[in-house]
Amino acid sequence: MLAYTLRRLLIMIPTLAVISFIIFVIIQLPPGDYLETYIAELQAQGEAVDPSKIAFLREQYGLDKPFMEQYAHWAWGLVHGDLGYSFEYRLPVTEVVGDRLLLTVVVAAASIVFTYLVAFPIGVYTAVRQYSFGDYSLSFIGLLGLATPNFLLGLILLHLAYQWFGTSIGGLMDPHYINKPWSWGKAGSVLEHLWVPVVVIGTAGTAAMIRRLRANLLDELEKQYVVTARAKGVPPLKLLFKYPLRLAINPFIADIGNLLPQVISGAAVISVVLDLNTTGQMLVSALQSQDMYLAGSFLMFQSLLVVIGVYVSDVALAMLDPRIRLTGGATK
Amino acid sequence: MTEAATVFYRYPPNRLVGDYLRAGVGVAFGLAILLASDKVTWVMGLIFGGLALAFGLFGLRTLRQHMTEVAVNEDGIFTRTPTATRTLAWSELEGLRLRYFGSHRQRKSKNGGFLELTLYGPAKRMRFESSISGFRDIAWWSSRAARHNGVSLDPATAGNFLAIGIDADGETPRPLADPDFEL
Repeated sequence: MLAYTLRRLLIMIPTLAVISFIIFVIIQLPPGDYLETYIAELQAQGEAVDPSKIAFLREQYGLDKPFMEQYAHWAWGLVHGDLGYSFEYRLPVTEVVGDRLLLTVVVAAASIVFTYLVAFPIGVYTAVRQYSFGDYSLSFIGLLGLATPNFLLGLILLHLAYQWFGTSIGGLMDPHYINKPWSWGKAGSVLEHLWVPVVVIGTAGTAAMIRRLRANLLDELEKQYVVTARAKGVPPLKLLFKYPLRLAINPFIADIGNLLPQVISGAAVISVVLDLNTTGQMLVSALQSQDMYLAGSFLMFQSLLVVIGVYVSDVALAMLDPRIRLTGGATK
Repeated sequence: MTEAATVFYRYPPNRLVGDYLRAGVGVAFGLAILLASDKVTWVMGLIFGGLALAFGLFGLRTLRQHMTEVAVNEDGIFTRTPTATRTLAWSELEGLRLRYFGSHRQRKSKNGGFLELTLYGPAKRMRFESSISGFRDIAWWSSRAARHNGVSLDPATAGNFLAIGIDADGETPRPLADPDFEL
């Protein structure tokens, strides 16, 4: 297990290196750079552009350097926790993003936990009680969640949260906590606001997961070893948890890696609708203004989450399902 | 130990090259970042120092595999490294596990990954990876001993035995030495 864990861990390093290079290439692909966008904006506002100031800024930001040198500088900074400099905000990226990265992780993690907490028991129940009233009802609710557009559900929940609990509309905390240091009050306010985006983002993936778990578990429950175990009098719950469920949750675990990018890209749209202080809105604006280090840092951070997600799912899968599947047997 | 029927196996060096490279790259990467940095914060030290240490240990483990000699015969299985010689008589076999390790992609493509055979005896444990020459022969002897000793196998282990052509519940012919066995 340790050998496998380390082998898998080492794959992450070149993967992240390649991803960082691709991200840097992509954010450099649009013609021009941040300063050209800045000049165009100034000219559109009728303001004079001082060429010497632009040349100074170009040198200061390192935009006059060759592509590979810029990339190497950025990548070296990343491994040291230095995310670069935001041209638009004229501040180090770490200062600009502030709590956003943490809040993005909190929203994404809470959404995944929500998805699993809802989908897992419903998936198991609907498989064990197939074609029962509960199966139909819960499947209907799950499909309703899948069919409802996220932005609509978000707006409805915002309204209900305000009407029932007096929670302020939008955002991940009460306005007076924004840009303030962390305190118990601020954490409480985040928790109070968190459920709306978590439910909105989480419901989208829940129905699909329920259907998959239900289908997989039904397949397992019909296998001969389950029939034999039942015939031998193994208690139903013990039988369910010991083998069929363990094998049926395979896609559940494998989905951790796929779920993270979905949740984060879903959160980007939802963050605009719900006015969340996560990375979504700032990423969109950074990409529009070609603020490359800010955009690159966000993308790199999200990629890191995905790579970690895939790693966790692979390790969990190895622990939960140590079976081999060979197409034509081992080669000789 | 019945000398005539004893077969010797090793981890072929060409199959360990990948692990040596992994260990080297992991240690070099962690150390290079730490040594080339002007200021090393505790977070960096923890991440990259931990990485270098873990891959250093992985390298030592690969070296130990490189130097391990395994002998199998009717009486039991014997391993010899420069530091120790260990013996597990088949009559002492108390447990057996055959586990598969592979990424989600390797599982889906049904290609790649590796098997790990763990044998349990009284206060001892022996572990072999499928990269060792004669892995199927070791697995065959182990499953035979497990059957004779009445050791029950979990479904994953039994299934993995079947996947490599060994029926743990019945007599299967002993596989010939298969140095090219690979997943």
